[in-house]
Amino acid sequence: MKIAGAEEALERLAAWAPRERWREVCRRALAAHFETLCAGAGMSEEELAEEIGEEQYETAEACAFEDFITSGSGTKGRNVIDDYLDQRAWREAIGGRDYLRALRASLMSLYEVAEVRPGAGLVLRDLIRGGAPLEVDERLGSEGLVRWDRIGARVLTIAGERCLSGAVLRFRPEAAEVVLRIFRRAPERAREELAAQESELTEEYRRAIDKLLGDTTIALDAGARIFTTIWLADALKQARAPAADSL
Amino acid sequence: MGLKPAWEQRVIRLTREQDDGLRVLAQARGRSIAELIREAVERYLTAELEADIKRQEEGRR
Repeated sequence: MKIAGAEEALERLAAWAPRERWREVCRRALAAHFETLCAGAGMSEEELAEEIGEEQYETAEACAFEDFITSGSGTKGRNVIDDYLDQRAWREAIGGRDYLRALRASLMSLYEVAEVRPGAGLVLRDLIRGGAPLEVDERLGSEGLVRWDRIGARVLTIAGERCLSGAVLRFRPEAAEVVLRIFRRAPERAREELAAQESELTEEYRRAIDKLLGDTTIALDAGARIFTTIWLADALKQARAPAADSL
Repeated sequence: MGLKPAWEQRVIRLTREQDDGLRVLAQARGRSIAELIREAVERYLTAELEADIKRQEEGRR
């Protein structure tokens, strides 16, 4: 679904953010998507880009940028989109503003393509949050994806219609399984973490935390970098062993 | 007014429903309940991600 003004709004936001007080937050947020893999593989971001190819690198960079602009990383939970719209909303078309607000409210998740409607859209199942399949107006995606494909994506709802944001990661099955495993275990492991650190917690407090940790959106909100890092690691694996992998 | 993530709104609602014990504990740590929980989730995700990348690198070598 093409939203009039969305592309322009994103471009202006991307140009505005690094100049303002978000510069350092932006730098750290983007780096978080690459540093674990680069440190583990003993390489720089430039070397990673060279090995996996510019196109793959830019796709991951787009995901990292969306993570930066959607997370509430400022004081009092405010973020760069809130700030930008406060100061510059007047410059944007209604479609552009709606797109930024929808993006702000979105979470990256892992989806399985349940159905492809060529030239029209997709039906996606959220593998992490569950729920009913979602119909998404996505003409371009409907041409490049097939049933059972797994993608890391943000589903946006604008004026009652659903679409995908610009950054979509297509996962190979084994990489998708790694992402799923990490998120499925997140509530239990976070609970263990908290219990170990907060030994004086009352029973009531523990129950409250249990209830909250059942909400997978907490992990998704904190974990967009899981998608990019696992996807990049798999891209690197493919780039380094193309012959063996294609067998 | 910034938009808070849906889960954070739930934390706030739940904290209001509980007795003061929850708030007292968080305040004693200079944190909100949401921050305590989010930090625990982030620590787990970071550890898991680092372990997975390490496994892959060792497998490759």
